Amino acid sequence: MVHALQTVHALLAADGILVDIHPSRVPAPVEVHASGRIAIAGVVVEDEDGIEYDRADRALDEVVRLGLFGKERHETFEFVRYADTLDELLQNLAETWEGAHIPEDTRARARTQMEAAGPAARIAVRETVRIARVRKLDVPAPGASHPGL
Amino acid sequence: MPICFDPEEHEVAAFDRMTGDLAGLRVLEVGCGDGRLTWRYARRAAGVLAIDPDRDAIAVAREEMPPDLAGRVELRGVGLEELLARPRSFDLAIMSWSL
Repeated sequence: MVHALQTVHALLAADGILVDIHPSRVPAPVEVHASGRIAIAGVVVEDEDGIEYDRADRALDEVVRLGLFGKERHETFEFVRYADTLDELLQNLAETWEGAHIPEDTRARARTQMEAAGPAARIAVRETVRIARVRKLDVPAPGASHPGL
Repeated sequence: MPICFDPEEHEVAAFDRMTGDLAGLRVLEVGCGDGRLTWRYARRAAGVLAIDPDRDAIAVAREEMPPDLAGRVELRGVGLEELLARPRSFDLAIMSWSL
């Protein structure tokens, strides 16, 4: 990850901006939406329990520590995907979210909640996502002499 | 109905707060996938190079690219390392769920 950020540093013009978007470790609830109400069936479980997201945070901190980028600001936002059926949602997660699954007890609760809510019910997963902005700092190339020396 | 991603547009709102005005900027998006985020901001940039090592995703993006973005967005099925011949070429880089 640090190597990728070093490459981005090389590709950016002077004073360029890097915006990083990646999920956070906050568990993503599985929600059933109907008639303006939201029922929580459970949460998405990840094989690595968000370890990759911590690595991404640490990689950004590392390139700041190395003087490649300067921190400017960050925030979090909620990213929600909606499906009409649990099966559609499961298929989408399998295709787009490696290492994530919805446990059987959560699936059973979601099915019960959707049946109770009627045909207009939709199922959703709500992720908490971190977005950060850092600015490229120009650093001397390794071995380059400082002009003042 | 297919899966609907972020109809509330929280992602692009946060993106806009982070990037500010994109006018005149040369943008590199890393991990563009099928272009879901790309289409939401590309009209406001001078040009976008959107890359993803997943060539199947890039093929989908090529099929789904809005016609008015042709000529403004370049899609390539490559990784970051393959761009090293273009140092200092971009004003804004986006790591799009790819770090």
